[in-house]
Amino acid sequence: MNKELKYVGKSIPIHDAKEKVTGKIKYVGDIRLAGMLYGKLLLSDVPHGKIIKIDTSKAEVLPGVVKVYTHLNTPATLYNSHKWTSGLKVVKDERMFTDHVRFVGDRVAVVVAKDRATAEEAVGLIEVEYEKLPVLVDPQEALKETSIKIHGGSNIISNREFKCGNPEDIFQSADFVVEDCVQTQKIHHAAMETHVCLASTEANGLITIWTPCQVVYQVQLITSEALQIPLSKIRVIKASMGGSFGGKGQPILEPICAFLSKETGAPVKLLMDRTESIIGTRTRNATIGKVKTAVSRDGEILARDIDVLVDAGAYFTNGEAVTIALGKKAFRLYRINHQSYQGKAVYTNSPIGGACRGYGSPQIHAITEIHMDNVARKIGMDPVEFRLKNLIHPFDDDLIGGPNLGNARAIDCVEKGKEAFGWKKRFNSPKQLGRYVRGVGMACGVHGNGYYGAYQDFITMDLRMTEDGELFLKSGIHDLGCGTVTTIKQIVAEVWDINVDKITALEGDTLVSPYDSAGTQASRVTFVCGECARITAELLKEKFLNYAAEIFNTHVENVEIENEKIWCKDDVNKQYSYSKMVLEIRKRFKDDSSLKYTYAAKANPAVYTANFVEVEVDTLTGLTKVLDVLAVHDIGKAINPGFVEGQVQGSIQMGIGFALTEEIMIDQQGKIKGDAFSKYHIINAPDMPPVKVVLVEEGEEHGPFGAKSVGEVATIAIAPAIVNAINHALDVNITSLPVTPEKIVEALNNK
Amino acid sequence: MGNFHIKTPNNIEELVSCLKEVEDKTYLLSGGTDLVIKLRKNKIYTGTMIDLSGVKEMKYIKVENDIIQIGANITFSEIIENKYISQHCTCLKEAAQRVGSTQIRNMATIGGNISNAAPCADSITALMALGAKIKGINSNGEVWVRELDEVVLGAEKNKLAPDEVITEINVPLLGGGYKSSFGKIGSRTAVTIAKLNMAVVIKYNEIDGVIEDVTVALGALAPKAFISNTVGKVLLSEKPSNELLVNFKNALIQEVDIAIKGRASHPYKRIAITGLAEDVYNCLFKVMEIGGGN
Repeated sequence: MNKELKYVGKSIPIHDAKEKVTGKIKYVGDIRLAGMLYGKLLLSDVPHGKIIKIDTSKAEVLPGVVKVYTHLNTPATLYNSHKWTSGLKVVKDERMFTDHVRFVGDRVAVVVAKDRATAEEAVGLIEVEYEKLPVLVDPQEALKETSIKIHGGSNIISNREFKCGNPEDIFQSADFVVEDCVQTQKIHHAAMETHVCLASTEANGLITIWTPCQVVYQVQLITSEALQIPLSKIRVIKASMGGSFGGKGQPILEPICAFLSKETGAPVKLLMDRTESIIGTRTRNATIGKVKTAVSRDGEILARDIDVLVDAGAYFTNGEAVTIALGKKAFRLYRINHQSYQGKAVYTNSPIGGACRGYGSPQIHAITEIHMDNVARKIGMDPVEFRLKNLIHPFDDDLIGGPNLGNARAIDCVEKGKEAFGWKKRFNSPKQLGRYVRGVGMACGVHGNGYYGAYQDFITMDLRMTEDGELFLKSGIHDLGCGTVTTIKQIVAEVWDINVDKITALEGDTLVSPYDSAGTQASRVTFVCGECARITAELLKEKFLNYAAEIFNTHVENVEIENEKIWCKDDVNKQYSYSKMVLEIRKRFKDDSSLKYTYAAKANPAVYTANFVEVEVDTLTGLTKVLDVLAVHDIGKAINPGFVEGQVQGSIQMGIGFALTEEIMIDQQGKIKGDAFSKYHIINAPDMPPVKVVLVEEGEEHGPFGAKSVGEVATIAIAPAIVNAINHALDVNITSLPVTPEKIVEALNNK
Repeated sequence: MGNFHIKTPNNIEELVSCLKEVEDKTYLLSGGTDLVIKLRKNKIYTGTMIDLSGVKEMKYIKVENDIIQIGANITFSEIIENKYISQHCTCLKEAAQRVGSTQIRNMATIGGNISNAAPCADSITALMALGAKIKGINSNGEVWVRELDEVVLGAEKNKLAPDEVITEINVPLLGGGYKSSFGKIGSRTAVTIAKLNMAVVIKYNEIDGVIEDVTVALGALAPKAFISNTVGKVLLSEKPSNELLVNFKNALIQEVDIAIKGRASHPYKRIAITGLAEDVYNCLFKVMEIGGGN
């Protein structure tokens, strides 16, 4: 593969850029079908209680209202929206509409009406009488056997341990043992598009669902389970998406919307407003992480113990999976021979946890990377040197038996970043006196490339060369707005040497897409689906060349393919366009120039990042300004550097919010503060620092053209880097996210 | 589906006749940036809406009889761009600049912001420091003028009768030597609701370097903005100096202690206000040397 790359490594705009910037693209919110009805949910305003009485009569008589649904007239079937594939064992504790509300935001009812305003008005007419139950919001309280039981049994829903070596023994004899407790909060994904779904039922009973989702086959599965109808009666079409960040990973509205359409026989659109999306969908799980490190005088990590409590919220969903994912990451960043991890997840009367960009990585890295700086301080070592001394090396093994780390370039990331940022000078420059003080901080992070080693990870693709010489790719991919479609096209284009515009790559549609085992999850798309696209393209090319050899009456080695032409090296007169060759193959061999291939992931290497930041803190108002960010990424090979940079820029924006301002705050009574963007503050343009992105492109064996993931890893190191910079600036040890002005002022007061 | 009856008076006369028919469910619409959200939040789907935006006599900024007259329909963007405001009411301009986002400032009006009476409303703090008066009209066509404090009840309630409308804000034209400044703390730089805001108006005698008159208004510390005489007294008749800044800060801390002691926000606000004090103080005295004595 020494040929110079023609399509891979180029910054080509996203496939639907024009439609998006001209406002012509149709999001689900824009689609209107004939006779379409509108649904509006009623979410609980009580954090915990049993519904004793629910009176929908006033809502039902409002002109324009078609029907009101509650727990009384919807399926009581329990499901778990986290289940993305059939064999997965899950605890099922969620139903469409509950008679026992468990958090402010739980689904109580839905009104279906002829227009949205009527549906909204009718929701206000539903009268619900609750028997209020005690409220449990503190995850530490949930650990106690005496705590109020949210789902009848214990509130502890997961208790997992991982261990290598004998950390207990090492702690006894270590030079230094440093301990910290780090807390991370629940956040909202804040995609521009709130949750939305449209479903339509045909006379033959087929329900079609249009949804901006991450896994069409998961939507189909959950809908089938919830409605107790066969998969064949459900068609799921991935619609244009206005952002997800994991928030649209688990089907929330889809089974309900399908049910409403089935019942009414009409198309039904269900749309959430911002508040509903914040409280009533999924959140990043909050965590409390206790971490203890034994370290030698010269900065070698001898042992580490991590104990994390995950707040899963009111329903199970992926509470256990996040607890596991979070723990596994702790073993893939540093060479620590003796390490233990205990993770517990608990129910609380608070918004439900779910997938959220990084899937536990932002939490575990906040916990361990803030702690790393504290350890470095205790032993008087530069935090960068401390990390360099302990980071994993390429092709290290995972000490708890996970997949090999692959071409893991963590050290390169830190070395490159250290130079490019001017770390030594900036870290050691004397502190200013006065109101505004500056500090620098850095943090590392690791993430994965798919499910290999944990769950089934395969995808089938179907590629066809059309008679006009274009390529047509059918597969269950989902573009979440980050350029998946174009990335896949670039990979295929590189194999075939064909203009990217001559490739059509469809997104997920359960009726026509070949099966995909996991959707857009786990940072698998470029690494696994991209590799499938590459191999499928290679195989089809091989088939094409073999036929061409027979047509040219030569050996296949003599057939050349370049720039959308295929010719015979022996005879320059034998040169065909792709189109002509397709027709010739049809005529001669009665065969279609197409191929279907199933690729199963063969590895799950790690990807690494190192983020360096400088902050300025106003010691009076406690406001922090992030001045400068450098993000270095072990990307293997950037298929589209523009997309990679876009992912990193967006990730930094998301991570600054996680570090400084964003929080779905739940008070002791279970009431939610910050349920609207007037109170829930994401970082906007005036506060966005310049972000410099540096890529380490050293290739990865099983990635297409050497590529690895970036979309999730990019958001995990920025928050601890910022916290470390604040602690550096102020000489404090703040360990609670978000680092609000209030916490900074408090830390300075306590200094 | 609910229905709103929308009335669109084009002038004061038509407005007065609309006011004659005011009922329980009549709403006055100005820029709509707060009202529309409240209607949705409170699930209000029916009623009568009087759209003030077409009343042409409410859209001007002019100076007459030593009063800057600001029509109630003037938006924050228009305030920011106005030369009289820039010249004479720096703190109002600065407050307007910090209201919401560009989109909000293009729609939201000063009359609406006062009627909405939010405790953290940036314009109210500035207008209070400037000694603004509110002019309005009722359903009999009677024109009234009241102190700002008499119009704002606070905590998002005003003291207007159902048939009264604010038509104009009167800001006395302060003479030579007067200057003002506004500051605000939110949770991010822009598009943020004030956790604290402050406006200070002073008369400063350049010759002997003494503060001859002073008004300090504080917002987001009580149901509505208020004038702090205790803080004002600290600055009055004094010369700018480092010591004066310290005294100013201490007086503000005391004011915060009195206003919100025991509240969760108290420990933060009593420190943060000293940062706000520095910002405002430095703005007012930035052209002169700070250093006590000559």
